[in-house]
Amino acid sequence: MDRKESLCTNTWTEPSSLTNCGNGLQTNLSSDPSISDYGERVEAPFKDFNQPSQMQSLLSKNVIKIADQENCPPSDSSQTSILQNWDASVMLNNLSFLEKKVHQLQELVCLIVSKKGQTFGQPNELLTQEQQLITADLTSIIVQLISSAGSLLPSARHTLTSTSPLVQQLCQLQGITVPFASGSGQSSVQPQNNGADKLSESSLKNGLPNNCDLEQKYNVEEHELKDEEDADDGENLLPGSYEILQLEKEEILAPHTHFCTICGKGFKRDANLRMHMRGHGDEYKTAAALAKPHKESESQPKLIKRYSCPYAGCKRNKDHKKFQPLKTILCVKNHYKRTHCDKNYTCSRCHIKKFSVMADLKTHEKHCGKDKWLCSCGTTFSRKDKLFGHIALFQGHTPAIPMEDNKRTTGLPDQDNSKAEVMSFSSGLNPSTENGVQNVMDVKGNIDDPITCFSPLNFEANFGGFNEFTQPQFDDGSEGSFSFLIPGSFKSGELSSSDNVV
Amino acid sequence: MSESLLCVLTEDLLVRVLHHLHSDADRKSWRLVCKHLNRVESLTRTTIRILRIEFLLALLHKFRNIQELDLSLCPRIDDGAVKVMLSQGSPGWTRGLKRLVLSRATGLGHSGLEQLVRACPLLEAVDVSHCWGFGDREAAAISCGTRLREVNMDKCLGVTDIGLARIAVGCSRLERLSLKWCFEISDLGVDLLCKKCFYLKVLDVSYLKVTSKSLRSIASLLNLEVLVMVGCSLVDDVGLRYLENGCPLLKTIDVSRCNCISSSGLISLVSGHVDLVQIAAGYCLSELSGPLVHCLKNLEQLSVIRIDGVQVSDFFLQTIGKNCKFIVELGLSKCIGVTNMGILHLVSGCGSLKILDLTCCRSITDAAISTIADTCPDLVCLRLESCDMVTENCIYHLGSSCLLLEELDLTDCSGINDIALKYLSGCSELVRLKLGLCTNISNIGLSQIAYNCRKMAELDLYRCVYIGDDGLAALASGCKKLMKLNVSYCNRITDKGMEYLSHLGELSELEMRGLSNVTSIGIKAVALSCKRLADLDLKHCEKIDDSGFWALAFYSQNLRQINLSNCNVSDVVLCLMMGNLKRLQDAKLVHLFKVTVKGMELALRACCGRIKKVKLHSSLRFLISSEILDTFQAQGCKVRWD
Repeated sequence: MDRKESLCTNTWTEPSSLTNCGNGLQTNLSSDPSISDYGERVEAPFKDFNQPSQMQSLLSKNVIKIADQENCPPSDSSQTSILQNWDASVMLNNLSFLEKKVHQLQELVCLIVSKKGQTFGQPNELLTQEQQLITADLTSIIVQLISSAGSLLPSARHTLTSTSPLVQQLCQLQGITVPFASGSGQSSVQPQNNGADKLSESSLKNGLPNNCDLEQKYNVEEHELKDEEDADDGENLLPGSYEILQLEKEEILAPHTHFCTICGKGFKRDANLRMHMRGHGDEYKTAAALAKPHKESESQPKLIKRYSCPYAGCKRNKDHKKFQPLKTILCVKNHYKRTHCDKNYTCSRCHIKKFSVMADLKTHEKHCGKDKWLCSCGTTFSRKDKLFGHIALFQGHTPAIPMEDNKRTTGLPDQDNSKAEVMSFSSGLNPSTENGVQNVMDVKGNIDDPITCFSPLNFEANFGGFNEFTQPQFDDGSEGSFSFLIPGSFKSGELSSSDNVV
Repeated sequence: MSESLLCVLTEDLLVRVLHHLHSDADRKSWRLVCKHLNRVESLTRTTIRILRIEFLLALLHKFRNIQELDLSLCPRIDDGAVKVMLSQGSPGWTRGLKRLVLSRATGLGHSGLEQLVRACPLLEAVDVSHCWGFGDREAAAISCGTRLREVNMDKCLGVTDIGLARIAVGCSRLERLSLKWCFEISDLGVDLLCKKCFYLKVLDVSYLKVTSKSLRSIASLLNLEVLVMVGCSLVDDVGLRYLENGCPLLKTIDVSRCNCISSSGLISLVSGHVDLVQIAAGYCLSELSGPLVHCLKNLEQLSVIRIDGVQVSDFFLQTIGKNCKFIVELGLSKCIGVTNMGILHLVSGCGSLKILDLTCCRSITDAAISTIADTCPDLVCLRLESCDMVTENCIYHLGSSCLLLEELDLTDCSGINDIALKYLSGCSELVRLKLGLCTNISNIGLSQIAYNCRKMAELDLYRCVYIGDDGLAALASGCKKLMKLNVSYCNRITDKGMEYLSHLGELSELEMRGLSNVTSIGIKAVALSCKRLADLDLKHCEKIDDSGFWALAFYSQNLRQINLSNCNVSDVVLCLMMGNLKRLQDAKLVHLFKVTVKGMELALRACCGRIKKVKLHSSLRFLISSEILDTFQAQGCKVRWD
């Protein structure tokens, strides 16, 4: 499966699981062949995907609270808030609400069935739009259904969550459907999409520095974790003493895992999403909304989770004879990208080194061109200890001493060159990202993606990537020129940066 | 000399005779006998030390079989000089050269050094100590000598790990290496050195910023016998514990001034090496703990122990006296807690003691010194500086029992008087005697010493205010071998005394600060006769005027170091001196009231290229043209601003 396809599959994963839940509720959703098709295909990965993060947290979450905070349109909020207190009258109220909704749902599905009958086989743009509208409505109704259904069970939760598969499923479904349904209500999808576009645009304009910050933070974490992949080699877990999870390649390559329920913007981390949510209104600024969803599942013994690489034949694949599991999802992601993907990020300084993980590129670019530790064999090293290790290893190799006169005269032009390269690179990058977005859009158009609000996401992702790319460049450039001015600072800067790496 | 005698004395016999002549003066006399003897001497000579660059080529031509070339005292050794030496000198002189001393050859660059090293195929030792400008390039040049076994790089301030790595890789047969004061070298460099040079026997890493990691590397050296690590303040007990299990042949260790080590580290070190011969651990412990003393008991081979500045107990001295029978040298300088009783316990067992340093052990009295004198007949060196309680009574014992005594330091012992010196004159082997600040001695006592201690080479009479011309007269007639003399602030000395001094033909170092009664006449006499004078300190000799300095400029051609601070020298004569003294390498020219800025500039120009170190008043820093200062810098001359 190539990249484009993987992207669209990715966007489909979650809505299709949603249709599955529709099946569970005895509705006739499966009449849409494309949806059901996808639903069956992606079911397995969906489970895997949710188990590590979302489902884990959701299991322990107070269901009502979620419904209260995130799902319900303003009109229903009063009703649901009452539901928090267990009461027979409230229950009755709730049940009637449910009944109403089920009827509503039935009507909608009938509508879909009739429309499908007319237009099946010859989709055009207008039809697609209609279909999207209907699907969105459907989605919102299902969400409301589930949330109120879930609220019926608060007292039984403690005993049921662990045993009843139905409740589990419910919780699971809720977790998934929340992002797509909330905020949309009964309104049409199109205006919402526009809003999302505007939002993401404004966030591009205003929230850029903040965004960069987050990205960088993320990269730091990723960097720290990067070595973990190698570090866990020494871990001696008995086979069977841990649970093996295997993500599919599409999920591994997905840029984001946390999506805004209002504008659909994607994030790599839940904390970043929570920060983002503040922009959508005061209700998201409460301490409770901003707080980390705390884990209270201390009492339940957790099974250790380890991850398997989906690439057959890889040592990190669970079918391998000497299987070595990966510790975290991040490890999986980095491992998969490093080992089984093309190296698409080329260093803008040396134009030689290529990387598949952005953080690796950034690490390299920090030192690229500063490889001033030179061996007599011509090999350069960014760090003195690496050079010394090399010399200790190879007989007859000895450190080369650069000509000091050259250093001074060529310092300035070198710096200029590197800056010029940065410039040309950044200008050259723009078209390519645009192309990337174009492709994504095209793909969606073809497959009649009901939720086009993903396209700004993808654009955002690319743009974020672009930012990541240029930011360190500039830093390095300025640092380099500074070090040129003060020769002594070169060494210290080098040292400190290498310290940071370690 | 008649021909017949030369027929009897064949060349090989002459060579044998020559082997028994050690001092330079004797050899000079030999050379002056006749052409034949001169030829024998020049053919058998293996080491030369060049004092003047003018004669370099001729000397290289004459001494063809040299194995050691010492250029450390030769001014203006630079790349050009090396080129001339190698191209115009006789081609063979480098063939057998094994040792090259380039200490303080600050004018030399890396290309010249490389040419020199490459030209000597058998080169085994290079000394570039105190070439403060040397860095990695020069180290790389040295690394061309693949047969090198010994390298001394003390105070080559620019050498980093890279330079050390070059040497470690290039000279893998290295056995002795000194890196003292190469501040840029770190653990990385030392680690690589230890990985590449397995044959290292002697390693000096004093004052480097190395940590215990380096000691882990050093511990892997199987042949290491001597480890000197003075002032490595980043090394701690962890490092010493690495040494406990490494370096199986370690015999000598110096951990002085390593502030971070404690008794427990030393205990682990000592317990790992029971056959240690020398330990130096001055100023690194506050006191010797009981367990450490207990450990030292096991070192039966121990012959040298120096624990300066440490609080010691009688128990320690008793333990040493009881168990370490072979102790030859004991250093207790500035130790707190050294008592008479402790010394008694010590010497009761250590009869073979030769060197004892009791500097600033103020509670020591005559009783202890008398016992030392009686029980240690082999005593060669005794240092008693600032032992106030010492009087003539114990000197009597020294003079009658320690007949081998060569060196005695009685600086600041106010109990020493003429009677003590009379007793001391019994030690006829005395070579070095320090009587500075012994204000109670006079010409009479000095005469006793002068007439009886004829081997005296070094005498310190700093601020012995009663010493006058008569004392110097006695010195001049008795101690003909005197080379170093300090008569600073002996104000009774006049021109007459200086005239007596001029009879000391061997005199090479004369310190005569603040002699307010000496005029140009006196200094002229010294300048005319003391041809070997190399180091002269005239600070605050304010009565000497231009004529005296003029005499120095013309007659003291061997002057290497001069201090003219606070002297009445004029512009013209200063220029004359600086231009005329071709061997001058170090000049202190502070507070010259008669010298103008222009005069100073001219003087500096006159000596530019030869001089290696100059001290000037800081007010001149921005008055003297920067061009001169740049030239000085480029030629390896260091300017100190006072």
